[in-house]
Amino acid sequence: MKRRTRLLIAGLAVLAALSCKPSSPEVLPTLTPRPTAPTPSEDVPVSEPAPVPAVETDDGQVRKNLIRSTVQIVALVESGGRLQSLWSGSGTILSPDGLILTNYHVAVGYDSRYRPDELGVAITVRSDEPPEPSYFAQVVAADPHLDLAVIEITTDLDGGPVDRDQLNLNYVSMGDSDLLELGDVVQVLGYPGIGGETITFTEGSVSGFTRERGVDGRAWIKTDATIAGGNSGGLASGVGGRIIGVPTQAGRGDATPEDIADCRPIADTNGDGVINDNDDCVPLGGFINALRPINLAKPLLEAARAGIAPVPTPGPGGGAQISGAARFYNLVFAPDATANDQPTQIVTRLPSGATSVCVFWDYEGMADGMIWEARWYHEGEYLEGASRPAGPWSGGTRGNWWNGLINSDGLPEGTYRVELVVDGASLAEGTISVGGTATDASAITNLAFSDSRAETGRPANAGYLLPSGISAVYAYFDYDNMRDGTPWSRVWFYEGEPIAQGSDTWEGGASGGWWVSLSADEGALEPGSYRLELYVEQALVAASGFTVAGTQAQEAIGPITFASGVDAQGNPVNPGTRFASGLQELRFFCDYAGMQDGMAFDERWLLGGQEIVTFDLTWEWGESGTYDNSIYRTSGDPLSDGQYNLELYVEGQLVQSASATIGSGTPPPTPEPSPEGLYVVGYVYDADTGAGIPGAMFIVLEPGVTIESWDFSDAQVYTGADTGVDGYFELPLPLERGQSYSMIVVAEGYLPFGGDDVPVGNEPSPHEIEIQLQRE
Amino acid sequence: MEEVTCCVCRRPVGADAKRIGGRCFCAYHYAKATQERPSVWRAGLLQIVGLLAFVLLVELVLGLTDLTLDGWPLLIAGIVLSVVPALLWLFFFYQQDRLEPEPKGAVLGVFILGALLAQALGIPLVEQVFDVRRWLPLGTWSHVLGSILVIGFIQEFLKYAAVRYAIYPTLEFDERVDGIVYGTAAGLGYAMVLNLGYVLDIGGVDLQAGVIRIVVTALAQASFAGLSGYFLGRAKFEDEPVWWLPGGLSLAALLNGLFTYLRGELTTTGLTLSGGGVNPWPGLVLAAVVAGATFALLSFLIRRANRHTLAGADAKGSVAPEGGV
Amino acid sequence: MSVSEGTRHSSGVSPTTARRRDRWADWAVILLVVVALGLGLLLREMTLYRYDAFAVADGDISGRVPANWLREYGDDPLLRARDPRSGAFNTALLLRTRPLAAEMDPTLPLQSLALERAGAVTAYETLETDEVAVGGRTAIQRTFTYVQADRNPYVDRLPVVVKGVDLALQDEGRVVIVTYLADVDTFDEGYRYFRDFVESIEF
Repeated sequence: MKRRTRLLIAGLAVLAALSCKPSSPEVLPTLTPRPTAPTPSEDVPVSEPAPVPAVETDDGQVRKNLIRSTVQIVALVESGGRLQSLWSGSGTILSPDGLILTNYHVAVGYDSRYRPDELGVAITVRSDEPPEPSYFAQVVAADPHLDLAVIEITTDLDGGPVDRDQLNLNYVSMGDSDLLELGDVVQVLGYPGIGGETITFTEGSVSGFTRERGVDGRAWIKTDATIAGGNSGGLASGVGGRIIGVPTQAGRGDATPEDIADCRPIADTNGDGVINDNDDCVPLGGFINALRPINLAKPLLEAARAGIAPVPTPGPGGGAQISGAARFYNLVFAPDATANDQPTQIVTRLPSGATSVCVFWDYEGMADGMIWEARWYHEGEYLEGASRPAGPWSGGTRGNWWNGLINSDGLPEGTYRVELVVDGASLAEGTISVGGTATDASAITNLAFSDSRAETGRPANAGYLLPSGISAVYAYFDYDNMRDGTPWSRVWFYEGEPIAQGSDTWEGGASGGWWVSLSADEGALEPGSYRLELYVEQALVAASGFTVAGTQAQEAIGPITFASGVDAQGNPVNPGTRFASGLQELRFFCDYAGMQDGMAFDERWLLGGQEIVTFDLTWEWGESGTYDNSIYRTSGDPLSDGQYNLELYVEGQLVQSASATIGSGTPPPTPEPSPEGLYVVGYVYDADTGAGIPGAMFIVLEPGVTIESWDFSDAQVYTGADTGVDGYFELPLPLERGQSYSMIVVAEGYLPFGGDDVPVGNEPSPHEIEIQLQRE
Repeated sequence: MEEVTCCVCRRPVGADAKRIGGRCFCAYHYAKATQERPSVWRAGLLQIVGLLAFVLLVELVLGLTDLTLDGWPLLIAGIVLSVVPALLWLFFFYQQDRLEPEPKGAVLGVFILGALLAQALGIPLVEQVFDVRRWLPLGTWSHVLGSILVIGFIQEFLKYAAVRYAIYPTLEFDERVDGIVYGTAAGLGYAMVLNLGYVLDIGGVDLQAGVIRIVVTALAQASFAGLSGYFLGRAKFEDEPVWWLPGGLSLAALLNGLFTYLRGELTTTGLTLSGGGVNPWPGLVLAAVVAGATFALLSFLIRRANRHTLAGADAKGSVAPEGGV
Repeated sequence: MSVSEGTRHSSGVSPTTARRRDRWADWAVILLVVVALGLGLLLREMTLYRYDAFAVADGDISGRVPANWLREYGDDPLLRARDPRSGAFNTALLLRTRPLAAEMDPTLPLQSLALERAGAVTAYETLETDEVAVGGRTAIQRTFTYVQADRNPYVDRLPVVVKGVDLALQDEGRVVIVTYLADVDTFDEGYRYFRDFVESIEF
């Protein structure tokens, strides 16, 4: 063989040996197939949508925002280091730092025997997949009477504290539930089943409103949408993707406690390792057709934001403890309720065109937690849209209550019957008819009380709370359609017992003002609660209660003094009305006199005009002395700046108010969702392989900055995002329409790719973009 | 006194030996050196056309059938595609070169040598030692200069070396055209390894973009290697100044680098909100144009040199070949 | 006996010279390639390790960061420079100061920094602590590792094992802490940036 040839072969052999070193990865990496473009806003199962007027270019973005803001809440118990799920419900994210609104019974439960140890929050990332567990949360503000609660995301899945400022979750902004009208479209999102199910979307329309005592304005929004139980606590949204209500438990017409709460065995209560009918049932979601108006949740949300809401200890709840002793009596009707929860006037008939009717009654032997409802019937037909849904009683043992229905277009004429049902038993019922012209029956209205006597008109201090030490009380009222010669009478009650009465023949003319009085025979009138009932021809036409408290020299509650704390002797520290930022607790002091143990005493705090917390207390501090209380943040952080108002109520009547300012007086602004703009998401692919490029960065520069002129400082960057494992990214900030931005996409080993002044037009949001990068 | 030998076969020749550019040739090799080889040009032309047709065919098939492959089939398809350009050229060349053919073993050998050099030295040098992917895209200057100085020189030198040290000193290299032939072979071998490495590294290319990239790589590598082969061909049979070979190599490296840069520029589309990125077709057009122009130019130059020689003053004596090697 | 025979050449160059020139040409090619690759290495140096000057704390602290890295200025950290190209985790250089009395142990602020960081990441672990010499001064250097898992529920990312170094440089009344963070696979590659950055810092 020729020498050269031998050399050649030798050289080849050496090269062959050299080339066998692994210069490429030995293991063939799994192929990452080109992902199919997802369309998250298209995959939600939707009932036929009502026609939407005018094209909203950002409708897809609104829908996506709603989907991402509706979370699944899972109630968990811990035993032996393991977590077991009890039930699940839905919730709505109301702020990007993790405040979630839901029902009280989803967060805390119905039954005191089954309280969750943890609340898990799962978020829908893709609407065709079940939600992904993402965080743990805790209750920060709750109202069992309204059945609403606000929970706050506290830790991530491995138990580490979450940096709330970095959460940046999708959220919905608050709508105004008072603006809803009959027939308005309502969209409900939530999670109906116990896990494994995707988010569902139901649409319906508003079918009615109800009112009740203890709730200002609309108490319930009824809807004809069929909402499954797990949606409880979820999102009901109106126009523009704003939340207008919270779907809340309700019952069917013939509910028993078990039926209401859809009791199911889902916890291993007998500890045998198996869940079957041998276990006790846990109250759960049933059928829902009512929404709690969002306006009722606003104080809770403010309290949660301010961080100072005390979480009330849950009431006994669950099965009726006192049965048979509950009694409803003195059922009367009135067109409306006064601010003091008294009937405006007692009627037996309403003219056509009346927009509301309320039923009042006294009660005793009740207990918080008993399931009750008010069923209204019109001409024998059950009014689903107007009846008060079954729910837990929260009025205490005895007192008076009212419930009503409203129809701003005027109640349809006919006979209305109301039936009050407690724990499945009908305790009272009454009938009233609507129709005809304004009645010409005698009407007595505006019943109010005062300790001073005026011959014409009424004194300025006429109200429902009188100072103690008075010897006489005068009841002033207006009257219409009275006829001279008609027999009329009045009955005075003290603590529910009649103590005086009188009867006369009317001689005041057809209409005008009148007064009647009650005086103590010796000394002063006893402090306590009174009622006056007025009858015309044996028919009750007016009734109202009033309270005697306080002293002659001084009102029941004296002026309020604010302070930053209390010293060991019980004196205020740094009294004043202006406090520096960083105040830990805001304390107030007030003298009181003539108070009586057992009276209802409410403290209502407002921040920046918004109610943040109300303490409903029963007076137990004796007749006179100095009272003090305070508010502070449960997290230990100082109170936020702002103007705080305190209102004190005795027996439901405002007796004192004062305000104090912390810091500059302006609290930090609540974040509003970004204005309309184009949200950009997309994929970055390798041009040769079609696989996604993880770790690439998509950068958008501030308008006016070109790629050349960019000096790599973060100040010139408008927004940017890193790609995930499949090359997917989402820009966190929207791009302004009509604006042009320079954009670059960089990744290691690829030629950089970008463009200056890319215009943003009318593309629908969210907009998906696909970028291909060339390898070097 | 010095011996006069044929610069090819080292056989002593007479003082009246034929010369080209100062070098002496025995009659046989003189005839060979000036031989025309139309087969080379025809093969080259067929190659270009054939590859273009191949790309269009693959694109058509993929477009019509909407074929999507995954896993092993995708990998095998990628491997097959990588090998096609080389096979195509070899087929065309052997078919065209029936008249006094080049020894097939030699051509194949240089082809394999080019491939091995790419695998053993070329790719490791470019990707690991010089770590090109990290810094080349960082700026225009680094991109252009880097493409020339690093990628261009490494690739061209290795292909040049495959020809220069394996076949250039042997008797098989006996025509001017041989430089181009063997250069092309080395270039295609190099390209095949580049493409294979690509396919295997990623585990399968997106076929639509992949086939274009494979063809572009093959055409480009073959063209520039053919260019340096031309310089080698001239150097063997004529006295060329010292800077001739370095210059030729530099030219090949320069064109290689510029081509890479230009291709990157041409295939990048503008960024709009509808997306953007890559349109590979201009790259293919550029490669075809470059390959066609290179081969046309080389063909012209070789023919001119041959004609010049044959018509030139150094020609003496008969042309009849004497015996074998 | 060995003899050579020859005659005068009519024109051109002697074969020997021709052969010698051929060899020179071969060496010239090799030389050329070496020079080209050398220039290529130089180009690589210049491109990869190009730095821009910066100054923070009202010019109190200045230094040089790699060009092409994103820069964010703030209160704490004073400077954060990230390499946008470096994959899922952006290699980063951070600059902070912490007050420290002159006679106190410079490890102290490193401890609190470590605790602060540990609360925000998963599987935080300190690897080693050494004394190193920086520009004639001694400084304490602590190497650590942790896992960075992205909390964004809407984009899927694989967790990244991050390796980092905190370096505490003592100054009057304070400590200047330089931190280098990188994906554990690219840590060694980027270490040079860290060294150059540290050595360029002046206060």
